[in-house]
Amino acid sequence: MKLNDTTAVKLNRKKQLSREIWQNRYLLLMLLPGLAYFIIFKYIPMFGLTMAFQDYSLKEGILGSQWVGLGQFKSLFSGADFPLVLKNTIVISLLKLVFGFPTPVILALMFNELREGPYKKITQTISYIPHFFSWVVMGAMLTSLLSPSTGIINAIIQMFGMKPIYFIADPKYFVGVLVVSDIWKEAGWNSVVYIAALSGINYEMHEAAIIDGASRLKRILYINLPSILPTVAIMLILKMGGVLEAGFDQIFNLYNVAVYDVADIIDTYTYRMGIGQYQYSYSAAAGMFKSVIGLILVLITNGLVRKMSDNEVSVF
Amino acid sequence: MIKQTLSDRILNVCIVLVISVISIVSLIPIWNAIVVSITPSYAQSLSFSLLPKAIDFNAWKSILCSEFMWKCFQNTVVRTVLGTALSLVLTILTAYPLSKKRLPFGCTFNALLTFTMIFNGGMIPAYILVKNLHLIDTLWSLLLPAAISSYNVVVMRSFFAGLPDSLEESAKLDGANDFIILTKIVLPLSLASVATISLWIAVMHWNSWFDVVLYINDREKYVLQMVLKEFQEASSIDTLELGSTTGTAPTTEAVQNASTLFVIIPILMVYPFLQKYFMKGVTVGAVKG
Amino acid sequence: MKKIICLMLTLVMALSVAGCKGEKKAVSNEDGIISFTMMGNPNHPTDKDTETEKWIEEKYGVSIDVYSVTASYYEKLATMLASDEVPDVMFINEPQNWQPLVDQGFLAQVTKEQIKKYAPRHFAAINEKDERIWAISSYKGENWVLPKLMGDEYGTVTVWRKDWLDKLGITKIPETLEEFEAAYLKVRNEDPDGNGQKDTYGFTGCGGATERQFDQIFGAFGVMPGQWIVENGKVSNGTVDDRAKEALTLLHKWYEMEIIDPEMITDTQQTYFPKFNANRVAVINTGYENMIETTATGASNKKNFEEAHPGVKWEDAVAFGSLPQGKDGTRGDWLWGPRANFVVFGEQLSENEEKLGKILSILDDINYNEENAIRAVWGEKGVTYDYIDPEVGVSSGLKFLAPYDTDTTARSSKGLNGFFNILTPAYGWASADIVRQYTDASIFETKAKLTEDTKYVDSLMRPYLASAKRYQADLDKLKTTAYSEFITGARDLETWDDFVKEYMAKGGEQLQKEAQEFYDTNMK
Repeated sequence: MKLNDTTAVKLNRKKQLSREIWQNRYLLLMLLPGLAYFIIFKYIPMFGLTMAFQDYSLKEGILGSQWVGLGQFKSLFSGADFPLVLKNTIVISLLKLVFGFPTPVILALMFNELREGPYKKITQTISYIPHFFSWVVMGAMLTSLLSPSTGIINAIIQMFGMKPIYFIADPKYFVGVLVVSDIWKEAGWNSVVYIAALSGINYEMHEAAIIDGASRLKRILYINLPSILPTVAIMLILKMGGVLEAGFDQIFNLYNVAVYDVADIIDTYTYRMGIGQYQYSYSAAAGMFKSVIGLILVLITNGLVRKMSDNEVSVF
Repeated sequence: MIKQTLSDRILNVCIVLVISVISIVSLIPIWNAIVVSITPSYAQSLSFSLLPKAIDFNAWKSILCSEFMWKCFQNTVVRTVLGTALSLVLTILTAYPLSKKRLPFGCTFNALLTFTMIFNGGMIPAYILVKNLHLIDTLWSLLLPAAISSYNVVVMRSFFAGLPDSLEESAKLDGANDFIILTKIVLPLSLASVATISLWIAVMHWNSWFDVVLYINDREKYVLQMVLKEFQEASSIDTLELGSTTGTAPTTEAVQNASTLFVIIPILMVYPFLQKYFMKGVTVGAVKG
Repeated sequence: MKKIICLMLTLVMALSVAGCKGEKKAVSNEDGIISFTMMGNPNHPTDKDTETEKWIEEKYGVSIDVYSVTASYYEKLATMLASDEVPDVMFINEPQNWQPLVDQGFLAQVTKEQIKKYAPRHFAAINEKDERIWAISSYKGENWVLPKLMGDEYGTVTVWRKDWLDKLGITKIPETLEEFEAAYLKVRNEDPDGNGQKDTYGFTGCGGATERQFDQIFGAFGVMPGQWIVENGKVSNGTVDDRAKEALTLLHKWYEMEIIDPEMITDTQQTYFPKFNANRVAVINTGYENMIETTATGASNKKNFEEAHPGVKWEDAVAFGSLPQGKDGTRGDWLWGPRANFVVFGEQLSENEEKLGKILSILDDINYNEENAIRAVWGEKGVTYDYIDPEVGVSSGLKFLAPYDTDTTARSSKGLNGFFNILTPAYGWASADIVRQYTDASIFETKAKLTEDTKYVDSLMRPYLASAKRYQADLDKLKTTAYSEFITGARDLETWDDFVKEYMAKGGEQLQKEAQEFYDTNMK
């Protein structure tokens, strides 16, 4: 062993590399199908990104279309409504992050405290059902649930002697509706990954803590939560990649003329601008803008997480 | 069993209460869909109703009697089963090497992976690729382009990375190679995460419809979500080109809701089967055994 | 490391260059049989190789390959075009959807002479309907597309809850705005449904729609927002017309009086009937035929109403009136006008007049020949369709038999409905002359009488102006938002002039100039 190590130091880097490759040949072999997939199905079509810098013509294709540099971005940013939609996108998306991200974690911690048995199984299954309804269906349902005259929510509000609220058409409440309904639809589904992470916790730690007299809440906070933190961190980093995706389907199915000022986001805006008119370069530019912002935020979050976890947790 | 303290018991009651409330709220969409699907159109109310004012199963009859729906159901099941199997194998094979710090070029590979999560070339290059590979109108066009999601790989990888290195080292000393370590040691310890990822993949396949729009021309090969989409688009036509050229009544709310349920109920059934892998101690037990 | 990345990039480059262009599709006519691909109306799906398709293939000696795209139609079309897979025949909605295709060279020109030669009946029908349609189907001085026609189009009628009117002691169906207001006020305040709650409103509207945002009220003031108006050779925009301000003033007043359902913001045309049925509004605006029992929709509405109101007969509960009249008897609502959608042809046909001619003649023959139209749209008598009332026969109209009446997938498995009759006019299933024979003449008469003098049609036939791409979406949003705010009072009507200024500055001015030019060159 010792002799091998010393010779390894003497070998030049190239040889060391080939040795590393040989040592890990099985790992590399495993990676091969995935690598081929990513090259063929992800990186080859990636050339579509260049559309954002062109005036893309379906006829000429990517090689033949005219280059316009940053022209598409200019026309995107110079749109009269762009500052407003950018602001709305950021507000909605941040609120969803602040309220929507922790909810599944808490939900998973709570599920974890339930005794194994039918109640746990059934409630867990139920909690993720809303995820399967499309926003078309959920949108219609929300509109009727929140109707000021016939909606159930307003009936409850009126029971307390308050005036009914037109949630769907009131700019003061609309963003709240978006955030809450998003949690309603997705919290149960998003908690699945944390439930999986929690199932891996070593029960011996709990036993030791119980002997030390730690209360249940303390054990949740000091054993369960820390042990799923790496998963939480990874999910947060991943979430950051789509930070400017404020939820097109949801908003498109819920918004209306009275709340455009708070609900119009980049996606609904570019949709309106390019509908049925083959403006792929324009949409590509908008997409790239969102992606670049996402990438920057992923890099920042990833760096922070890596630092805080002493290089243990990171996406790359 | 150690006796619970008072505060533990209060916490317990609170949790059960909160979970119960969440469950009731989560039941609203499916309950509403069930009620609407069995309510004849004259008894449909403007608001959410707990019980149907009248019952009629015509909507369900029309869905369950439709040959086309069952054909699509079959296509969806085939796609989901094959797609999940393929994607799961590829995802594990990709994620495991990437979780190893000793992998040569590991950093580059991971960066390349993350990049694809945030950037994509869009639908036109994807279509041209699938067409040039001669996959149009084949099952492969639905399986291959969606085979690996970088998102799933990242999550799977972080689960693998969380396993202690000591497991692997002892196996290495016994002369096991990486394939054997993965299948014999790592996977049995990662059942919960594998179950999670399979659920994600299965649901993704079950819910996909846009790739069907792009890659499938033959209606015989449609999937259920595509039919749902068709119903929704047909009921939202109200401008110039009216849907009812021939004066046929538009798709009723009952049919829309019945078909939604027809599509989602089978996939809802998957989770209970996976739940046993989420039970506390499954993983730990495996280490001991 | 560097080498590997280098290698990968080269590989990617090579593959992508190969991947950028699809193969050119052969346009040869094998065995002398003309074959063509057809991407039909997305609202009428069809399977491959259906009975109807085979019938056409046999009858006309052609071979058809169908693309039935029912969702994301333009995304699918774009991807096909991008890979050089251009269908020979395509359904297209509006000029903004086909003009870019002309610019990019995907379409074959179809000249008026060709249409006249190969589709003479359609050519004649267009000229008879309105020759100015050719101005919309032309682009840059040439005719590029085959315009579809509107069938017999009537405005909507006012449908009253007659039982409520009776109860409130209103014996005359209201006609003028003042009479409407008086009736609405009674409906609001005197509890016509007798449930002891003040929960009835006069009417509701599509508060956020671009086109039908309370169109019948604007009609009473002699203006239609969203349409171009030509007066004395001058083109102006209905949206910023002073008469629209007057209408908005009244709508705001009505909103304050609680005559208009405050939930009009989220209402659409689909929610009208449910609200009528649920005792919430006294009036809805809809087509006459949607509320009479001899049509499919009308029969289902009647059934729904009678089941929901036991003891009340449909005949006693529904009364038809015309739209509200303003000063000098002005009234009307939004009409689409003579032109409908379009049929376009792939660029590969530009050098193949034989094929183009054959396709044109087939389309013409299906739509204008009674027997063929019925075969293509309805199928076989006694199997897939029958007369609505066999005793009355032809003039009672046609209906699909079960399961084809409710199951759209059953229809598409036979290729029925409007896929193959791609020239079907809007609001019809064959040429207007044929459809008329299959409709009860009395319905036509009543409809015509109720909608007399109500013709708000875009004077320029909804052209797609050069700057519309840049401005229209923003302008539409500005209009719908401002209008709904004016109605609810969120914005004071005192600021009307500011709205007009903003509208004109955001592109309204430029569009108006272009509309004037369009009028001067094409329609004078």
